Amino acid sequence: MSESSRLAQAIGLDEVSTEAFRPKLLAGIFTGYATAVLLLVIVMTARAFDALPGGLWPFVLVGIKVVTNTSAAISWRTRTWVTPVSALNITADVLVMTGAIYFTGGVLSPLVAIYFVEVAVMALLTNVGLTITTVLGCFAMYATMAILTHTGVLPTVPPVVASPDEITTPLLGTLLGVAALVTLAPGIYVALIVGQLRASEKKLAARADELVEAGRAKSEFTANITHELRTPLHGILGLGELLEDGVYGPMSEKQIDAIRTMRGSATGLLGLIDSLLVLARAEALRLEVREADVDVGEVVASVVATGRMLVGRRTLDVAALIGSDLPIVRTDRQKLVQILVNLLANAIKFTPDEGSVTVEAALEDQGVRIAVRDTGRGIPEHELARIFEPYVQVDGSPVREHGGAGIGLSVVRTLADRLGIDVSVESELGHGCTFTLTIPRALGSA
Amino acid sequence: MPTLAKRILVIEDDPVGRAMLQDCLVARGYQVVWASNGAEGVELARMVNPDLVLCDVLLPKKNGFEVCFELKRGPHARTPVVLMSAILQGGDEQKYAKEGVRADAYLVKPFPMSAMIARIEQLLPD
Repeated sequence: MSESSRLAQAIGLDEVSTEAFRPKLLAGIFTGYATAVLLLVIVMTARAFDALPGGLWPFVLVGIKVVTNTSAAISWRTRTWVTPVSALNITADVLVMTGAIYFTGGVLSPLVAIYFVEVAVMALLTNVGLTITTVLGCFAMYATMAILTHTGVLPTVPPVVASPDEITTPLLGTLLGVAALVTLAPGIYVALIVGQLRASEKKLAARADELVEAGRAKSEFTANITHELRTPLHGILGLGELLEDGVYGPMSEKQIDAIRTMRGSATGLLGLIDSLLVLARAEALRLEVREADVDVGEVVASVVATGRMLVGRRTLDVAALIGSDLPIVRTDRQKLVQILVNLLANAIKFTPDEGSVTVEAALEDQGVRIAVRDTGRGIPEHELARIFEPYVQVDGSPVREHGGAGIGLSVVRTLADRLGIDVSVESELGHGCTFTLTIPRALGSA
Repeated sequence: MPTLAKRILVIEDDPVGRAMLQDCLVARGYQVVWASNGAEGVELARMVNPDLVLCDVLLPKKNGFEVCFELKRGPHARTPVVLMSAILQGGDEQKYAKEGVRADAYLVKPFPMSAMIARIEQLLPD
């Protein structure tokens, strides 16, 4: 970064070259022309009534302003040298104003207040840094003029009026004209900007309402769809139960078998609907993360205990190998638990009886590594990439012998991504597979 | 003296659900009267004086919570009301329990018929 652009950044001048600032810059250029012309009109009118001293100075000053302002307009149009030309234009403003003050009586000039036009326009169009720079610039030039006149370096210009008694009607008119310029220009800007703020405020409020409405509509939709799906299932399950109980007459053993199968399928469908609802809710909540200090060893131990309950009456070994040096990490405990429970439930579901599921947690160089290993039939290599997608089970059919919606692993991936935990899977077909979580060291807390 | 059959008012707009409840309850020896919307249900309750009201939550005209409130505030204050819904989320019961008026039981669809019978038998002891 060059010295000048560093300076531009420090005083807030770099903003003027941005795309968003273009309309404001144009407004500033128009204000420059308008102020110069109005001042010239006021000064010339005052002169016609001998209210202000003569000389070429008004034309020279307005000429300088028109030249710099036109350069600013050209640089705006061609988008070249916007920052230096704007700096020059602002400097010229202050210089021209100081000149007008000098030629109308120096420190006793009735025009001192015109600095306010520049400061107000800068404050309303630009930023705090540039406004303060402008204020300091005005003060520095005014002080320089005052000191140079006082020390005799610059000739003293007689004041337009020495005492209030000498104010003539034309001079009063001139003073009122200056006062009008000084109050009107910033006044119009304030009105315009407040109007814009109000409008954008309204837009923001409307947008916020829309978002709230969208969120509400989404959760209502989920509730409705659940209602619509569960109601017919209630009919299927209830009537099946009544049939089986013989409410509609005696049933043969084969008929009862068929009805049981039918009820089993309907119950499966109910589970699917509930899983979808959980997924929709998780999406609606945008998976908000609530971080706390989490003892990884304790989490793994409690998840394994839960996993053993999932085994139920099946003959399946669930073992845990938990390192004694596991750290406390900064993460969302509930989501970590959900990730591990889903992985463990998945392993238990796909491991046949007499097999085993092992959970290993250890501290390694990259962080905490938690591996869930099973002795199931494994996952073919070409399927490994897909298993974290929603609604996918290895043989491609959405619900098969193992049941479930195939959303467990997609939930694992979503949650892990949210927590910054890496998930990977390895498998040897026929010998089971291993899911590995890596909680990076960066998540560790002191 | 033979005991009179207990009378149950079923308020349910879904015809399948209604027929099913009717068949189940009749098979258990209950007398069943039914209405297909909330306002009709409240009206019918006044006329037939049921021993128990089994009412869906999402109903046309008056919802189940409103039906429950009107019955419990009127002459049927002591008649048990069982509300049924396919969506009854945690907090709904509190949200709709006006002035402390609550249903005697909530069943979330799909519920087993056996569970419903068990609940009714509990609320209607001989």
